[in-house]
Amino acid sequence: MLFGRRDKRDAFERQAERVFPSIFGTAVRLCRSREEAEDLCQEAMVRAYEAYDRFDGSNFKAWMLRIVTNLYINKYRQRQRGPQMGSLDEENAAEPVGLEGEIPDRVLFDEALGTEVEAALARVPDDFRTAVILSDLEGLSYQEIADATEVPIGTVRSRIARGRALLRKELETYALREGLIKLADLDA
Amino acid sequence: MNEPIKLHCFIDGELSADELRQVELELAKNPAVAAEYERILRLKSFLVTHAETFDSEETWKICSARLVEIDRTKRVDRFVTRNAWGLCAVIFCSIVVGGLWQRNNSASVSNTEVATMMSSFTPERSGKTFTSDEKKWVQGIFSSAENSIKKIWVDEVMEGRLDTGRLMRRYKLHDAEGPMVLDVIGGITNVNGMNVHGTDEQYKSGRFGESTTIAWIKDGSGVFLTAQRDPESLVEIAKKICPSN
Repeated sequence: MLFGRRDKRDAFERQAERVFPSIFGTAVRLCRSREEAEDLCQEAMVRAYEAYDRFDGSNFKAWMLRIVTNLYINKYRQRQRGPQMGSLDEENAAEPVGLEGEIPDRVLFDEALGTEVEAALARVPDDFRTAVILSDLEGLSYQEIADATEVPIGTVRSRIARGRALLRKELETYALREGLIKLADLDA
Repeated sequence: MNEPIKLHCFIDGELSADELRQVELELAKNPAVAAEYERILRLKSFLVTHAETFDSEETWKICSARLVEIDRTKRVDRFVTRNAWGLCAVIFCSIVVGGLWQRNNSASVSNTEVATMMSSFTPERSGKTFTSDEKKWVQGIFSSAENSIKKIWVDEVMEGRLDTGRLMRRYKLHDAEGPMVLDVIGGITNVNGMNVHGTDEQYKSGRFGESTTIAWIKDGSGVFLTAQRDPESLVEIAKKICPSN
């Protein structure tokens, strides 16, 4: 039994170590605080380890991300403070209409740095940000995101679309503020 | 395009075959939709290439250490759970054995233990079976002790072992004022629960029923002198019996 447990831990650690950078990155992006992300990761790891016997063996990264996201939504999000706390009302949120012609992508994307991208992402409301992170950065399927966030797949679809539109809007605001583009570009 | 969300689903490969065909047609005939498609695609790849990489090594080490800690705690929990009855039995036996050992081997006794020992004493040999030399020796102790006021006589000497294994001698004495009993119990270096007599700290006094008892320690034995007298006169006699005290 002693060796069985040791083997289980070894197996879990081998898999967890491989996906841990993703888990930690997601935790930082969800919490927007490194300290909280560390706590979240530790708690998620403990939960995952204790539930490892129930892991179906399919996609370990998706399973871990599901635990992290669940834990964040049910526990950590409630603790957070600040203007970005709540999500936009999904019913009233702006449709992700095309932004065509507003800003040339080359200007917008070539000048932005990693920190600014992260800052823009952090300003996207929780539910939309979570969907974009899990989809675009972690490559989860819509079904996996639906499982992780415990919402219907249709909601995931709309959250991803709106999340991307909001992120683009944040990047535009940044580009305007930094003088990378002018208002005239928007009218062009 | 009426449903721009479908464009996102198309990029993410999340459309059904019917929807896929519909979007592909739309992309082919509508340049605005095609432009939007390109824009979403660029945003998606931009996010992947520009996202920061967070150093997670330290956090991983902490997590890994926690897993080891969890295993250790579980191991202890499991051992305790499985062996709870056994552990309880071991602890119980330790308490019982320790108590018995303490009872049998402790050099320190309480006043109640002394009372029990004195009242439960069953002699194995009495003075009648003592040799004349023994009796003379015993007589000598007491008569040599008193040159002064009162003479003390030994009426009987008894010896036996207590339940605790201690050797006990009982001397039945008398002097002009009446009978006395002197009990000498081996293996005692301290008597608790009796009052220190006056300023003479080596003597302790207490009452056992109608009688007064004076106790002191002599050569690793507890000596108890009991009579129906006041403690002062018993201490005076004690000093004569054991002048080296």
